[in-house]
Amino acid sequence: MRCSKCARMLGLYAGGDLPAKDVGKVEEHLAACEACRKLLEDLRAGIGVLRESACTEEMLPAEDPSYWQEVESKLRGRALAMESLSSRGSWRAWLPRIAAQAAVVLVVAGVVVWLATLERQPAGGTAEAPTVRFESREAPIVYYLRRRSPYRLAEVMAPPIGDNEVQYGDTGVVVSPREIREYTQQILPASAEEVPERF
Amino acid sequence: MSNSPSETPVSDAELVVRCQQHDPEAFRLLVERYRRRSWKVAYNLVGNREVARDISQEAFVRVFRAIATCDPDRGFTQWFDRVVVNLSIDYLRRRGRSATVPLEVVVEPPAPTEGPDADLERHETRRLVRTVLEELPLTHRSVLVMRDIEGMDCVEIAKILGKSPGTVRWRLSRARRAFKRAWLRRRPNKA
Repeated sequence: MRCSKCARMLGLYAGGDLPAKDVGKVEEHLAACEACRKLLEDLRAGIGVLRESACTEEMLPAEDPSYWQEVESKLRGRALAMESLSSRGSWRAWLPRIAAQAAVVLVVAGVVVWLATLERQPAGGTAEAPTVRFESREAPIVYYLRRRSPYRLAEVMAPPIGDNEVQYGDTGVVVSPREIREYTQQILPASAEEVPERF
Repeated sequence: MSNSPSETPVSDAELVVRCQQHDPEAFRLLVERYRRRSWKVAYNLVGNREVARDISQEAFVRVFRAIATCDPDRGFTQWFDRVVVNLSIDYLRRRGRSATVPLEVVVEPPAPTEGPDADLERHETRRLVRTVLEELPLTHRSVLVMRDIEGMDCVEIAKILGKSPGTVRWRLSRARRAFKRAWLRRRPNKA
């Protein structure tokens, strides 16, 4: 081992921080190198000086009444009054409250979804006649585009006549998906793709 | 680390749990228990008595705000030391960037007397050590203080600094050799 490499290791060896696998190599080199032994001695002396110069707890005042007052003052300055500790608590303390709030949110969300589902269903069930009536052939297309739902379209056009035609309301007017697509292409080209090929 | 305050009848873990259960008195007890320790750790890093006292108080404010996140089973001491050390290093970084804040060397009064000459000698040694530490880069100074003065192990230091233990050892080796050189320049007959 070269002295330069040993010197790097001695920086750790002097304080007992060298990994065990390297200790043998360093000690072998030290046994044969006076300069590195001197370096080790100086390093140990430096560590000793550092340790002796350390400030210890005993050097600080045992009693310091203003210390606590100043901490309280700092807490107050950050709007962290000691009393607020009683309302802070750990996350474990908050857990039941969070769980209750989550449960309420879930129930509300469930009710909203349920109401939305009800709204999608035709009044009186799916087998009954539609309640929406149209005055022209264009009306169901506009209605469809507004609601953006093929199920809506099917509802207002019941009953279907075959796979490709539907009759809406009780007007007797029959319209096919192709006609809807073509008409939509004319009035709202970007929305034409949303019309299904078949009902 | 030595002088752990955890040997007192009410354990740190119990005090932390009581703080988390909304007991302000438990927090006051934690402050009283760790007051001198935090002050000492900060002082050994920043070398200024008043700044160190301020840092230690700031550490308690941080602890107060984050006590809910402290896991009492993993030890309050290490968690708290980390807060103090990081605040001290932040201060040193800020001071290093600021040209308006002068370096200050304030040395504590010596320990109970062994005679005027010994006291004077110790006082002078402390002043010189502090001066030499101030000459070192912050990366060197921080590992030297944490390892050789505070007695933390390399793994603990690595966690505080957010570095690998290998990086900490490498810095420590360089720091000790740098300190030795700087010390010998000032006190050629004393090392």
